[in-house]
Amino acid sequence: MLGSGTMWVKRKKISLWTMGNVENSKRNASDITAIADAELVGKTRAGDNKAFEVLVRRYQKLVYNIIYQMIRNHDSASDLTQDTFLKAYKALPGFDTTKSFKPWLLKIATNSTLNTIRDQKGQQSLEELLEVNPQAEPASTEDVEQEVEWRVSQHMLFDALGQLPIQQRKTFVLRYQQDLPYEEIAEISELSVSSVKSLLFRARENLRKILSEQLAVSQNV
Amino acid sequence: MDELNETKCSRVREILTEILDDTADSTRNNLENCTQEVDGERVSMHLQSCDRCQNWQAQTEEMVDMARLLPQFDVSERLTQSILAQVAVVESSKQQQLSWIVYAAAVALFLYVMLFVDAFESVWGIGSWIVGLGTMIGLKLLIAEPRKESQVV
Repeated sequence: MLGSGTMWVKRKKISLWTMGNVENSKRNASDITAIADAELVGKTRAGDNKAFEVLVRRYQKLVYNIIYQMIRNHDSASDLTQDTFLKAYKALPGFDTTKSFKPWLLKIATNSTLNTIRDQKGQQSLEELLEVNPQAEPASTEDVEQEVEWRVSQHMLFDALGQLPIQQRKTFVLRYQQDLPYEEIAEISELSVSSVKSLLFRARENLRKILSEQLAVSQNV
Repeated sequence: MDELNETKCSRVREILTEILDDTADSTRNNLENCTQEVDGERVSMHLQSCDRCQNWQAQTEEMVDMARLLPQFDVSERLTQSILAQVAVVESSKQQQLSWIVYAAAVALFLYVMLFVDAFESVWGIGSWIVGLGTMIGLKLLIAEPRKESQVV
């Protein structure tokens, strides 16, 4: 009887100790997730891979969704997300710590995606790919815009986005889907803020034209 | 007259675009407030009298609102683990490279001492060799430890 009582006390002690440890690890996990990017970058550079894991978990969804909107294929988006973090990890020792981590990471992601798209398109040059897309410049639809009743669905917008030149699509997604400020988009794209504004303007006008045309066709059918 | 209207329309749309971009996270009400602030009543008056610009504004707002609602895909834990495993491989190969450098340096030192220094002439010489070996084993352990940690991640 006494023996079993001692056992119970021991078990209780062990379970309390385990609970304490779980609580501690939970607290540690929440502590580390609250740390700023710059500190996590510093810790990763000092050899703490847990810190890099936090960065991966913090940004993987953003990176994946931006890449997916650019490449429109889940398998490729997964591969490129993996590739982005691996490149970032390898390049981290040379990262300028006075700059922000997020635009730097997104620059790696978008550049890798652009390179992959260029490789997939073969002989087409990147400049052609970025700006020339016959589907993206439909005939003037001023009159159509007046007549068509505008009821845009997510599906239609998704399709229309796919018809935009890649640079315009990327800028539109970064600004409106991901809600990034101009300055960050400019840093990611290595462009001036005014160029970003002009890309956004063109993207919106092209989208409106494509959507108007799609709506006109669907309402006529 | 038409040309004049076109110019007005494009100017109003330019202003509306700037407002829309600067307040991308705000609501339609905010947009209307900003319109009042930025170019006074001129833009509002134009909007009241121009169906084309009204349509343009409504369509652009709807498009931007819809873009914010586009689905965002969640990332699977498998992808996360795959990224972390790849990082661990990179880290491990870095450590391996470092340990090869240490080994090469140790071998070079050993050969140098064997060939050019009479280290085994006395008890002190042999003692210094033992200390040297201990240091090398210590270094090896130091290198092996972070490798184990990185494999856990």
